[in-house]
Amino acid sequence: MLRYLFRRLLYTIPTLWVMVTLIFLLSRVLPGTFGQEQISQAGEGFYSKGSQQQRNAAHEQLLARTNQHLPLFYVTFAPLATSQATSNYSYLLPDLTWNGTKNQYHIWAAALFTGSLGESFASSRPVLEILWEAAGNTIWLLLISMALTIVLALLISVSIVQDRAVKRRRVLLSFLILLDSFPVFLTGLLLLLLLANPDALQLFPVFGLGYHHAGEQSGFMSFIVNLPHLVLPIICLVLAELPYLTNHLYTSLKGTLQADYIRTARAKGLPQNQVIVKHALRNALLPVITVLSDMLPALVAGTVVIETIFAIPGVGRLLVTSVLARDFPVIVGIVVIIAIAKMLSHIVADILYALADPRIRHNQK
Amino acid sequence: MRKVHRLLYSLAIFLSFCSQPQRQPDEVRVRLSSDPQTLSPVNYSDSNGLQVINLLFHSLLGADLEDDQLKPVLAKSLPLIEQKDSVTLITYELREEAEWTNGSPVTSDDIAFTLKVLKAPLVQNEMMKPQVAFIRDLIQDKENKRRFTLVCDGFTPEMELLSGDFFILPAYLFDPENLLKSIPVAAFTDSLSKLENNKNVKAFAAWFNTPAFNNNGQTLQGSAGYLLEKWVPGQTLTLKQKKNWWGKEAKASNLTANPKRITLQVIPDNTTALLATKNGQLDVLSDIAALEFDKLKSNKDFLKNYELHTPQSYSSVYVGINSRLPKFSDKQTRQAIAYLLDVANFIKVTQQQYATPTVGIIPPNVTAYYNTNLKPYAFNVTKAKQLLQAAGWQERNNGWFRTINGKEQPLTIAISYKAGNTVLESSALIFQQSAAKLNIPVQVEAQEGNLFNQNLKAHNFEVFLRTLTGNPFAFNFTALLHTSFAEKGGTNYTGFGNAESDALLQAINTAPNPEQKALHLKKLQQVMQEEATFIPLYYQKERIAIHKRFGNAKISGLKPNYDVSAFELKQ
Repeated sequence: MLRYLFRRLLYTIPTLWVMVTLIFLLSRVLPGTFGQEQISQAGEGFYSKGSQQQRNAAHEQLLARTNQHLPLFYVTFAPLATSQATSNYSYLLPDLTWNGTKNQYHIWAAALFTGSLGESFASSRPVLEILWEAAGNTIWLLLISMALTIVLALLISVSIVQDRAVKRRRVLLSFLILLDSFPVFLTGLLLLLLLANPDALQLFPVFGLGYHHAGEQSGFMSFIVNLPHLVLPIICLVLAELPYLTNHLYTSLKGTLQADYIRTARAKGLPQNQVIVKHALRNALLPVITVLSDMLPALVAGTVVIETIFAIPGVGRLLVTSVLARDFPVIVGIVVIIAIAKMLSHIVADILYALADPRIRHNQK
Repeated sequence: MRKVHRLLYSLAIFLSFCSQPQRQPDEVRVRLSSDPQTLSPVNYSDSNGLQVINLLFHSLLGADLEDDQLKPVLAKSLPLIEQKDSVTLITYELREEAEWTNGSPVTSDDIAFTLKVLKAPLVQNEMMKPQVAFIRDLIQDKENKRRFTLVCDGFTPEMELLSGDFFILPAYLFDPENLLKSIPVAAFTDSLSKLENNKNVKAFAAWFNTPAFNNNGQTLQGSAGYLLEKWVPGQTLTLKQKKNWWGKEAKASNLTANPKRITLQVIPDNTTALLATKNGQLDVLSDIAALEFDKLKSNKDFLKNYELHTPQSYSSVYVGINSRLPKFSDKQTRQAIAYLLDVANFIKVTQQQYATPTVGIIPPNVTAYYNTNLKPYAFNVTKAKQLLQAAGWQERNNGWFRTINGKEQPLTIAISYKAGNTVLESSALIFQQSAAKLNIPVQVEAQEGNLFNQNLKAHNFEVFLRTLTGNPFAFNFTALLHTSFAEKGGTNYTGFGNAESDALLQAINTAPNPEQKALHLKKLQQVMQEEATFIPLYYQKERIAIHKRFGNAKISGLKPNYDVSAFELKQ
């Protein structure tokens, strides 16, 4: 098993590298660079802050300081028009220029080997430090909501798969379909308007993660203070993912309950609950594990909205701000972390497969 | 049943523990829509950062939001300005009481140091650097450490404002090893290539370009009345009042630090911010959506605790037409488009009437310069039709056509705006409907911010909708309207202007007195209206709610629309 996992991990590295390289290159294709808009805007208005030439010089200084003046990659493709002017028909072939190691990608990749994701253009802080800070909140949010979603999906599926639960099944499945049609932002806003509003019910805090407190708080105290603030965001994420997961689990359970060995278990006189939990559930979990491993990106996408609505400083919001500001090191850093998490979740899924089904374990051996 | 009871008890305990915490009465809690990118006083790039830095650092001059006037802050009085040949000399004297956090006085050494940091190569100062490029040198008064003269290139009317509009840094804290002291200010004005290799400049840049000068309260200590107590990124910024702050002795109405603590709470979503205000968790909320603002006006519970304000802002919405395009090159076609802009409807739908139509670029509340003899373009399809016919356009079943450069061309309009701006989006859609009444097809294009700006600079647009932020202090429209800025990459995007309008812009800048200036500015508004290339539509009104327990809020049309440092707790 360990050998298998090690091999999976080795396969993961080149995939990850290609993915991250593509993200690095594609992020730079976005129009505009960090600070460009702000510097040029200083020239517009009822008076101009510096001449066009001075603003251009300042922008060039910014590009040089952040290495953005260097070529993007080892090779550059010359624009077609230039090629056309210099040769006959040779423009049909790409005209490549070798830039050597003095390029943005090389500098970034070399730093990555030393464990650095670079520094934010905006705050000069190391990207890893910024990510660690933001991920602290997002991880809690993701883990708690994922755990709750799984537990609830299991409970609901088990309860509605039973033969006697026809009415319950109809009501719950209809409710889940309705819930699935709600966009996350709408669910978030509805929860706020219903449960954090003096005009309706004012049960939960509206925003953020606690208020200002003089002095430092212990980890536990900080968790206690933050907990009420996390309730609505967690409910929102759970409601967003619950219909999809429950539907998968329910379908899988229903299929498993048709199997011969389940009939045998029933024939032995085992109670319905025991048949489902002890015999059917384990097999029904197999396809669901794949769904679970795919849940992470969906949840990260969900946190972008949740963190904005509930004003929680997390990775989702950081990504949006960084894209808008063209803070490339932070954008690439976030994608690297999400890609690693995604790869790891696949490996965890493999382990769970092996645990759920001994045949897989034996095959791997 | 026992399970249900247990569940109910747990829920009750949980909900009681979720209740809103008590507020400290002397704390003002303000909403920020996003985290400041940096708090560096020489490299800030967003209005949120500026709002916070204003509470930590002082500049020589600043706007007093009480009356929207430019007033001395660190300076003792407004500067003395002398024009000599090709240079302008601007002389300042600093307040005697002004001191840094450690009690040492603010002197002209600090001003010289600040200019060096702002102008130095290799240093993170790109956002502010162009603003002080016109200052060539600083001459210190040998007998008075608080008096100095700035030597500036040429003369522009905004020089007074710009010469005093940068934050002054404490040399003792920012350069404890005096790395820049031996280099004169003038050395930073000429070619900077030599300085790029200067050992001291390199050492200073390495020391200064660190996060400590972007976000650390221990380092970011200026002469203003607050200290940065804590910054939790993406969440809160907390500022605490300085003890024994010198400004209290200065007895100047624009030098204030009244609240003991100011918390700036980052809440990106407008609905969330509004709910937080209704919950009493915020004391100040600005940029309230017009529709919500109307609802608040009739919410008695809300009005018990909050006061609503709608100051006239200096922010306008305008339409730009690319006059370089053959189909828009004649003024009658542009005027016809202007008559199809239903400004009254724009204001009604997007601003819920919280805006004032304008005849030109000057804000209507700057009464001395606003041309009251003109009338804004009003939606008029008949007039637009007549103008199009006069311009040579022929109406057919499938639209309007004209022969341009030997080819018959249809009249179509593509109107672009920055994606995400719902006000501009609605306005563009209203325009589309209005133009349809005259059988003119309009294509509405939302463009990503950077792409939109790149297209404007490359003149790759037909018509655009945009906002423009002004002020009541300086009216130099050269960059926006002069033909020398109409090249690709320049800031005169619409291609407005000719020799006559260029001369008018020059006359505005060199006007010897306010009366002459008013005359030229009124003429400019008339020319702009006739040309219909750059069409200002309306000036917005801000929409702000402030908790009633505070007085002296200094509500203003200038951002951030209130002076939080002036807030006084009512008895």
